[in-house]
Amino acid sequence: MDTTVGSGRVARGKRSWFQRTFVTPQAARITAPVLFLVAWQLIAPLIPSAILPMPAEVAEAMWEQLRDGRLVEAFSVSLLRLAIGFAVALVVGSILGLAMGLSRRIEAMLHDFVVVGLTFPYLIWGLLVAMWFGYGWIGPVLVVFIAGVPYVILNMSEGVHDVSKELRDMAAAYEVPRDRVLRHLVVPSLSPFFFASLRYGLANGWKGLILAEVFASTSGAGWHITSMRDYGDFAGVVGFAIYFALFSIVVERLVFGRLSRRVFRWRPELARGMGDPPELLV
Amino acid sequence: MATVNVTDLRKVFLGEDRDVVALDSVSFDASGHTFVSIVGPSGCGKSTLLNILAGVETPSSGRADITENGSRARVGYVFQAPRLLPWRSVIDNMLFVQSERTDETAARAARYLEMVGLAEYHKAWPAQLSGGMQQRVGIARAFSIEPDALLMDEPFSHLDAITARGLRRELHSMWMETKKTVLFVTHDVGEAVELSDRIVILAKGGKLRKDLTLDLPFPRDPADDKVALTKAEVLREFEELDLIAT
Repeated sequence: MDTTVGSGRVARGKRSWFQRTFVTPQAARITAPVLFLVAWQLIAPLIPSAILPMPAEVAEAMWEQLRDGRLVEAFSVSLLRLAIGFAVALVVGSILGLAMGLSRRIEAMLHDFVVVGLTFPYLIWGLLVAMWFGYGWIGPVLVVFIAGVPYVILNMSEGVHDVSKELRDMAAAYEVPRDRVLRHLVVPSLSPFFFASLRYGLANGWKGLILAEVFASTSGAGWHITSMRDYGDFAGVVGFAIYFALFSIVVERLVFGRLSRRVFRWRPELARGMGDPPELLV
Repeated sequence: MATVNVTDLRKVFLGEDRDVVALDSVSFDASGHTFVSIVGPSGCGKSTLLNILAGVETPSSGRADITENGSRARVGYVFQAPRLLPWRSVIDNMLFVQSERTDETAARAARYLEMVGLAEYHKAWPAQLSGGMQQRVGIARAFSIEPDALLMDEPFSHLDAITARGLRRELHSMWMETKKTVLFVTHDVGEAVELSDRIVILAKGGKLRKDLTLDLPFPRDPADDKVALTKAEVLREFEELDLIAT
């Protein structure tokens, strides 16, 4: 016994410098972007700066965008559009998704629309709303809705199918009141699907929005990045693109990561690490 | 005192290719402090019978109900799997099935949790418990509503032999203490002999083939000669009824 435990410890202590820097997940998270920057710095001088600007130029452009308020203005306009469009998508999509999950007839009616909605190129929506509504808020907000709603419908209807019949029968056998079943059985059972709706719906709403702003808007992040390209500000374009990437990471880590750990703390893989069971489980 | 009444019960599941007869003119009664095991090969409609009695499924014809002084009885149900809400703590799972939430029902839930030896786990998530512990929560849940009758559907079949044996003892003493009417579905003849004062044998096609009364004192040790002999007798009934697949 002792030998086994001991040898395990020795093996851990023997981890090489290479392993510590690149192999452990925590280290890899930091190492990967650093390697990316190093590679960029090495390759950039070999390529004309109109195609690939140097990291320092981009950093300077990013600092400018932050300092003169363009970044905040562009993102706040876009985020407001995203919030409005997706709030409507969440309400409408949840209602349609639940109806689709509960009724085969409604599922048959909506199925093809959802499939088309999932695969239809945002570019076409962007062009269409530009033709219909010109420049302004309606087009981009509408595209957020169109891009997000199929994910909400699909996930919520799957969620309805996923509500366990065994648990529903259990509740029926104990004659548990309807409102309690809804609150403690149906809603928690749907929550992973609601969560998936939120994640994928928002991500796709965001992608659709940026494209719509290119064609149908004179404000917001999508319009902003297009106008920088029109002025030949390539460092600005790349810098702004990096802001997009940072934005995704921040939302994923701070919002979705934390939220999902909180909402799903009962799941086996998480529950084992939660609380202190009084003794060893047999 | 709860009364179980099953009269000419028939249940047919309509299939796409063919209909399946799960129960066919089954009749029996049970009431008061009795432990009735329903034994038979898999697919003989044992679980369907319990589901109909619990009101989860409806009979195709005939009737099956459990009454208490003429009105519908309150019934506790222990399933093959624990069937706990994974996103609620152990104690909340027990409160979920209480007819109302008062200090009294909360205290009762805590008491039954203690009776199955899990008082200190009341705030744990089901996923933090072993299979046997989860099943004990399911049993405590069934008792905690202070039901007039208890339905149990192979509650120990997923557990290892040692855990199952301990839980059988626990169940027996709880039955002696609370004096409930228990209907216990199992395919394990030894288990039925150890626990019941009556064994109802169902055959494939959902026909009731035999209704045996067991006149043996409790507690019954499976290693005891008389218990072993009775088990052999019941198995012989199975042979005679031609229920053992060859």
